[in-house]
Amino acid sequence: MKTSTYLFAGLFLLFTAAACGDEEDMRLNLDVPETYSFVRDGNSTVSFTGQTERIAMAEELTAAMLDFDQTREGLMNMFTNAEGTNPFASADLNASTKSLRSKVAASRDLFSANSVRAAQVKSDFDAWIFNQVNEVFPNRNEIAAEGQAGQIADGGDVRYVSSWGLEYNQAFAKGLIGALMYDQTANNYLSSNLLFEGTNQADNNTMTTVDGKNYTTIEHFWDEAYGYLAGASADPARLLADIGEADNFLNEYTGRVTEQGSFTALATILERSFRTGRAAVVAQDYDEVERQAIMIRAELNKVLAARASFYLCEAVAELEAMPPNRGGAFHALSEAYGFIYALRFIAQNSGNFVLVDYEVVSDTFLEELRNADGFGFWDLTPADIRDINSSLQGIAVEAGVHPPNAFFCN
Amino acid sequence: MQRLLFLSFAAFSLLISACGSGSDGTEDDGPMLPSFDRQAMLEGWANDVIVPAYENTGATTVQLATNASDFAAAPSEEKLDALRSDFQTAYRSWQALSPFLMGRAEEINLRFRTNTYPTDTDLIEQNIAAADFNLELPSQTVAQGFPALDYLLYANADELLATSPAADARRAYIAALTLTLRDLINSAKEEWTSEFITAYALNDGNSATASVDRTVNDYIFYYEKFLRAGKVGIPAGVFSDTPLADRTEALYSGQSKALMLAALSTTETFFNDHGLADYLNTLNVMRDGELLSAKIADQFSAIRAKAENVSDDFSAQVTQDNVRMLALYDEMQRLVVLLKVDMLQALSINVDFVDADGD
Repeated sequence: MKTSTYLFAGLFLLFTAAACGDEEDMRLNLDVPETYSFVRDGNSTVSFTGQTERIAMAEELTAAMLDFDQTREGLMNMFTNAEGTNPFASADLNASTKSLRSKVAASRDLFSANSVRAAQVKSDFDAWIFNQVNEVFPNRNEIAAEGQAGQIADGGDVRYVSSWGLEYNQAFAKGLIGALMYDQTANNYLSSNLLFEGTNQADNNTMTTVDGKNYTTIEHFWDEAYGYLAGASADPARLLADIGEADNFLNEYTGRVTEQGSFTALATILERSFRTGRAAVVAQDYDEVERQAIMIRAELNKVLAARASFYLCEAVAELEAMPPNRGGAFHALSEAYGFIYALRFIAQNSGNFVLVDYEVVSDTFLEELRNADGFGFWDLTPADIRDINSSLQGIAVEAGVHPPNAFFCN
Repeated sequence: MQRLLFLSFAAFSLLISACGSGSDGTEDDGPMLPSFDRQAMLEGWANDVIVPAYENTGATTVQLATNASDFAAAPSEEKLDALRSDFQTAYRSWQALSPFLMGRAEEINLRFRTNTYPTDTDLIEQNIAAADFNLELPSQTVAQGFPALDYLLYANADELLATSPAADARRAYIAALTLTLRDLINSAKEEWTSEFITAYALNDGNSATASVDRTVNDYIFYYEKFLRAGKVGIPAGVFSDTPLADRTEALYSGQSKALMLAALSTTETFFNDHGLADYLNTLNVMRDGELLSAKIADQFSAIRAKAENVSDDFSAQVTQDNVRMLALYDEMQRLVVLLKVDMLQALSINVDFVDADGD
């Protein structure tokens, strides 16, 4: 039932060119502001401090994964923000009631009835922390080799890799973009199941605000989705002003993707959809809200798939350089590993035309990258990586995540 | 595809100029295509530029290492003075080699192990105190090479002449750094002069992997990243909010300008005297009614003139009057366009480097 709604919406998008006139008419009823600022009775109704805090926690934690004085316990405390441990440098973060781990693989659509899968994802992140401290930290002054964790040079930079070449900190950071920022946005706060649950629509229609707050529940959910992209922006009302620069997570890579071939308009579309959808909430136009949510998901899906492909291409280029830059290739493969991990959070009916089980896709390619029959990244050839990339692109194009004419390496 | 276009365009313009001169002479001569001997240019680069640079840097680092060991064994003020002088000579000779690191030099990460600055003085002190360090580790590139020696020989120099286990450890560390430097440079020199050189000169085609394309790319990359940005732009704060006085080369001996001028002279001579200017002239490449080679030569002179306005120690300069430093940078930036856009287009060489991802 839900599937067919999405498919219908997808088809609608497909024919936007033809339907353009109608859509314009609908939009005419919407009062969409120039920036993401929404006000009632002179007070802003926009709030996403929780998202801002989590992005800041993620920044501290991923940086701390390369601080060799850290312990597993210290890093886990940052991950869970365990009460009384004050794991962060920032007092505000220590005082926060929010935590990263509780929102990893925690979306309504994918995980509310699937705590087994949620636990698996959380344990993947726990394992990256565990391995970083127990495998990489003790070998930090070794030169990395096949089966030997340690350092590897990447030009003037130093990369710290596992016994099979992975930088756990990169897998963690890029994986988190999928498991936290993307999953919470696409599968939770923009989910119709959450947005329109219970009396939410009725409350929004009567402008009944949440106790002690200036916003309705639907308004707040929509803002929380926006917060995972704009939570660290210098001026969150103007997402585009510093997109790509505001954080090291979803904001950064959304900005980066716009420098990549056919995705130049991606951030602009994304920003406009967030603004239009929020205006539709105010206007109580829930069909329009759903439409914009689907468009946002479609653009975010491209970010994950395009970055996975980009880093695979970069790894090929580093290996084919003269002389090969193995450290550079491992760094790119580690980022690709994280982004491919993140693909599993793309829901099967995420505004695409063909249903693809991205969990299976993700697992398949991760296994190929781990190359457990060999020495992991150490004996992956450019041809191996090209194969993974072209399969990945094929699926992404077929699923409608990528436009078929998108820029890819070959 | 684009390269093909450039190539045919270059060939086409050759034809035009050749036909023009042909019609002035006797018709029997037929059109004379200007020819340029790329292989001879490559042989010149190898024999007259790169090999001498390796030999000179190789010899100066051998002397540096010998005298550092001697100083460690029996320290004296005279020996320290001599050692400092050896150090300055070797550091300057490195500036002639640095744009041309191919082959083994790249495999062993020679540039970063030789001249990564700012140096990490905490790590250096930690290494000396522990007397246990592995200079092969990538994380130790910031605690070795010329910048580390610059710190050790010029900052807290009284400690170098003291009689104590700590002073012994300090002198031993200096000796260890100079030995590593000597071995790295001479290993790269060995491979270059014995094996690489023949293949290098023979690889005279015009593909991305051919020697002309690679050398010119390395040369421009060096100019843009390590000379323009590293030695001048970064300390002047071009890439940051404020000037960064502690990012200058040779921070502790205050010799940043001498090294920058040595590097500038390497890149200038390489262009003017070793083939690129001739190559452009043979193709009769003009810009704004003037030979491109003359414009480039003039731009080098303009940079040199601006460099006269800055003091010998760039860290003092950016603190006292950064405007002069920025003026020098702007002049250097103008040359990037002439080299990277105009010259590469004329020679139909594709740029093979891009700004790194940055994370």
